[in-house]
Amino acid sequence: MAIIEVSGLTKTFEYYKKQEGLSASLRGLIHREKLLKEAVKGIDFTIERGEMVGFLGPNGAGKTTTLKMLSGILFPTGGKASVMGYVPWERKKAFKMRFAIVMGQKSQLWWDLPASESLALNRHIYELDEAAYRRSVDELTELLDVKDLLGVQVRRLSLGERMKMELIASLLHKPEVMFLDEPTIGLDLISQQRIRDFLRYYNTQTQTTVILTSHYTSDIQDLCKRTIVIGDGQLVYDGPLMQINSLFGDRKLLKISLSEPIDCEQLNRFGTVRSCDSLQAVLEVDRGSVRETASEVLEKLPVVDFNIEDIPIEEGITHLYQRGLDHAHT
Amino acid sequence: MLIHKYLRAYTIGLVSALEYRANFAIGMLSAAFPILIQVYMWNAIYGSSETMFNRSYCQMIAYTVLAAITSRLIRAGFEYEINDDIKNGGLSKFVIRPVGYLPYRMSCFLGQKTGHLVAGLLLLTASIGIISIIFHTAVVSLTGVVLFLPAIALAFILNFMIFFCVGMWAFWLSEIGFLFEAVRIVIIVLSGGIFPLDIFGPTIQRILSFLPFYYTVNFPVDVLCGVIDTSAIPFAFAVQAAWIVLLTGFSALLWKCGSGKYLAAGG
Repeated sequence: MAIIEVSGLTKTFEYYKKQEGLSASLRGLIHREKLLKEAVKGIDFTIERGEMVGFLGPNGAGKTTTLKMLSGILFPTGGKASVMGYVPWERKKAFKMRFAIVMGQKSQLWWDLPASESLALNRHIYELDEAAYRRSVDELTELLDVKDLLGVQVRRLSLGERMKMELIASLLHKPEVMFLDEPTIGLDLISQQRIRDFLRYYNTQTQTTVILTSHYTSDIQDLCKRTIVIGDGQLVYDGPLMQINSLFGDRKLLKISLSEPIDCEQLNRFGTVRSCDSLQAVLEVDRGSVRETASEVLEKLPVVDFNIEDIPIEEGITHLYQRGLDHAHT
Repeated sequence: MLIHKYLRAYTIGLVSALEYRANFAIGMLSAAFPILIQVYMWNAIYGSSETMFNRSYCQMIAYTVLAAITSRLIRAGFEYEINDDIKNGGLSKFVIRPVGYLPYRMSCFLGQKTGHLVAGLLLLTASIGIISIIFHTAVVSLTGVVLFLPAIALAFILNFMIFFCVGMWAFWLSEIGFLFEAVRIVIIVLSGGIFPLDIFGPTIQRILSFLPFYYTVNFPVDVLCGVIDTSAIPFAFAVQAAWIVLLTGFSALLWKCGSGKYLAAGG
């Protein structure tokens, strides 16, 4: 049975139009134009226990809004959702004891206090006994290599260190479902990798169900077998990340470097020319004919180096977003 | 177990108050200036008369000083934190955890105020001593001191509930900072923090006695000074308690309606 079920989930925000200038502000005192923003437009999906699912989408696509509804922070405008059998926005205590959400952009630690104080507060909030709490803190601080930082005031921690503490604070009560909203945002490559390694290890060890949103496709590529792509409040793709490009034709990129300048026109017969600056060129060709094309290019042109690559996944995703937008406008 | 989470919140309040102790000290010091102005004002008003508004000159001065200290003692201030939590999304961390926002804030506030209460009560005792020496008369009675303790405790909780409800307005109004200041000044006047409510005359005083504000400053100070008829005190305690219950219910209603409006902004 699915641990998370979402159907027709919708969220519309009301806001007032604010125009520039003093006279517009004065007019606004008497009459304000009310606008509606449909942040999430009826999405459906289900997630099985133990799955680690990536949520991809541009800024404002509705990823965070969806996670906020699934964790009961926001009430939806319409639709249904069930997480471990609970309706999140009923905010039942039993539900709160079994899930966690970590927000990369919103600290849940007490800023003025050392991290250890926040952890201790969480221990009491989640009613954990001392021994189990100690074990968890020891294990998690060891894994994330922040044992020495427990006594440091949270505001003095670096972004990466703080993020690790956020993760620890949210895992103390061993949640069965975890929502991670951009946990690697703003982090350097090494810290990103550390957090990723940790999440992978934790998910395999504990079978915690995870939804992970990120701007970095590499996070999701690394961690999630399944990806849900949201564009403009709608679900535009649900499946393995690597297969996104196959939606737009199975194509490969042929990158060549040349020993002497050539006329770019010459390349047209081998495939679609993506770029050409006389000594370097990128060609897009069908996966099926990549071998023949490559050998023909090697034979006909003064090639010194060449590479066959997949089309970057970001391109497929951009296409998907675009499709979501087009769909919304028709 | 349940009590532990709020005990911990209490400790957090206590620790943060120690961190920001200078704030409180400056707040108390700043009371001196308005007290001085009021003393001059009462000098002029009393002139040669012995008693005005049912109080002798000495009682009026004692009231002015004790009310100024009491109102600072029970002063809230967390309404800005509530506003910030609601506006900038800090409330989310409470919504998703098995912890009540009101009891959490209350415990934290109690923690913050513990140090203040000790300092404030010492200051009250010193002021009473100084006034008694200057006027060669005891301004408080022993009964007054004994009854003052439950009165100030209830006043403290009552004032918390008033400002907790005020803080909840942030669900509906986004730019609320100035409103808090305005509300605070009105409440100080209506609670008798500046002068006793007898000054408004019997009709208005009667109306104000139905509102919760009188019971936060004017009432405990009058109990301390023995100005109130002892037989009227149990009823006033009951009114304090009733207002606390009523405002707790009201805050729950505000929370229920307001949290549907919560936008969890930022991230």
